[in-house]
Amino acid sequence: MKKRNSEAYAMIQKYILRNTKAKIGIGILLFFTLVAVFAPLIAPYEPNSIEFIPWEPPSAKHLLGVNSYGQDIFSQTIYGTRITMTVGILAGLLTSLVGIFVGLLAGYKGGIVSEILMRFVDVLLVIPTLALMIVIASLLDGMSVWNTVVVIGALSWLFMARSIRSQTLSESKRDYVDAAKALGMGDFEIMIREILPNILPVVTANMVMVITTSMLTEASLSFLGIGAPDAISWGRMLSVAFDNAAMIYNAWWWMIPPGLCIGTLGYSFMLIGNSFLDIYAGDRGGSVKL
Amino acid sequence: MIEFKHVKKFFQLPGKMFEKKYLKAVNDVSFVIEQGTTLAVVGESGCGKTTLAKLLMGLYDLTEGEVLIDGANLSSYKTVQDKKKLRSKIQMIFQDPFGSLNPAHTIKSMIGRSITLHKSGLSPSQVTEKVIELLELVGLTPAKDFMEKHPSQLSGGQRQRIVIARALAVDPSIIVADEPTSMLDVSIGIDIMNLLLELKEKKGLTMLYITHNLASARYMADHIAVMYAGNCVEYGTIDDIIGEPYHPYTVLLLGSTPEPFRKERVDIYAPEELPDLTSTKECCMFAGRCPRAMEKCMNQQPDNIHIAGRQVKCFLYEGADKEVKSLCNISMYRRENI
Repeated sequence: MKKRNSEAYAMIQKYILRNTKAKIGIGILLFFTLVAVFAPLIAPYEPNSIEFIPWEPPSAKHLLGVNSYGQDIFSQTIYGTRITMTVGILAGLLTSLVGIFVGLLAGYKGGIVSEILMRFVDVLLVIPTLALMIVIASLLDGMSVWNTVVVIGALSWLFMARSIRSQTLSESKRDYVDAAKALGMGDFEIMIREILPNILPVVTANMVMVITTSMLTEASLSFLGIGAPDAISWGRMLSVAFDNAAMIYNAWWWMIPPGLCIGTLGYSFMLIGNSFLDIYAGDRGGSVKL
Repeated sequence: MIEFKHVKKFFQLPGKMFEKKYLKAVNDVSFVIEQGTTLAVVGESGCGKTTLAKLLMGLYDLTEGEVLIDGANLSSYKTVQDKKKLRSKIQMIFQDPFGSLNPAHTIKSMIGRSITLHKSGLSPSQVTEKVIELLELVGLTPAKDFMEKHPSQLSGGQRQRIVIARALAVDPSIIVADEPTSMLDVSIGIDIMNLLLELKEKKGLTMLYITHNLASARYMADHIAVMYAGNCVEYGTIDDIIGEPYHPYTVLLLGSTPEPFRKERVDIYAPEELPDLTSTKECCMFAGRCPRAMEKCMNQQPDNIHIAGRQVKCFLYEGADKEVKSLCNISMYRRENI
């Protein structure tokens, strides 16, 4: 057991502590996670209380000012971390899971399996995704955070599946796949253990994009009024700010904090993704093939 | 013992809907590899050597004919379980040590997985022990230094040793070596050949050794099969065939090998009329380049002719008996004799 721990520590040291990108990325992610977990302790006010003077600019009492409804924006931003991160990460992971699986299967198996899966993807790609999401959302009874995750996850994997399929296709022709077959490995193991680590650059690039897009899609859905109505997210804050013409009132304190948060969180995922690429390149003598 | 009986492998080419075109990669190959011996398969690029290896590995399905391994038909290994059993019997050493090792894994995890694939119930420390044992067996010492390395940190020769260790991890009785030295420097290549010879002695392996180099075939093998355009044109013991080649193509192959101790020009002329592997015409595939081609050769496919333990696919030897001398020699390829 002790040996296991020291091995795990060696892995952490190799992959995280010695990599600046990973350290910064994970640092930012950890920061937002802590904010989300301890939101009630950090936020000075109830996020939905409307007891303050509308349009008040930032002050010592209201660090990020007040919005047109008289809600404290600092508290809203902190509570918004919860929904945005939950939706972004869960929907992103769900999307990646489906995208990776479909892409690997279609690329490795080829033939009829690939045809069926890719034609299905084509059909879905022809329909505008957001419109389809609205239709699916209207079929579900009421929008909760979980329903948002499912709606986003069900429809965002299409491009990911395509790009992973094409990479898998070229990777399947390599000798090491034949070698794995010759050794007697099963198809599933070849896909997951042999091919997946070698298409990591494409997978991480897609995953970073998908997680960030999920956060933005959640914002769009909220913007269109089909997100969870009682949930405060950064996307919802932006859409409400837009609805109330924050731009005209020059209320930058209403738009910049949620926007900056979405950007920073997205950036942290990008850094983590890039650090994976460094590891990938290190194992291959310093070259990254994309 | 491995028996190839009239093995054929055709690949279907993309073409018009009702007109099916086939590429005859392997066309009617028969030979036997006795237990514990090595058969070298030689021939030029694209003559079907690698296809033959992949057929034996079960990576391709046979189009026609049969392959018997210790009396059991290769096509009888159907279920996943059966195939796994087949894998534990036959393993392959690949041509390209740079492509056949997965760059994502460490040496330890690569060889370790090969061990656990076919033997369950080993503890992690037992697996590590076996990996060390295998690395030492293929001459990578001290083994501990190699365990955590990735293939990118090793040289070509070291990688090929890893490929060999990985194949041996399964404890096979048959090894298929597909030009294992062609991507390596000559001096490292001889190391790998010596290693294979040593392992063959130690473990009593039966080997199918594929090469395009007659010298390495002679060094490694007991028997030799010469391939041309998917056909096995000549088969026999290495001494017989290199000593007195019967088939015109074998003669050409031997005659085209420059000797290191003679500076004499190799004066041969063989029109480079490449065989069409997709043609449906029945003929000897070598007829277009053969100085001894007869009319018959253009219209008929020769059968295997057995003469005193060897086998040749050429009309010249029809009706020949044990005493026959070779009817071809390299001088017939000289420009002035054509």
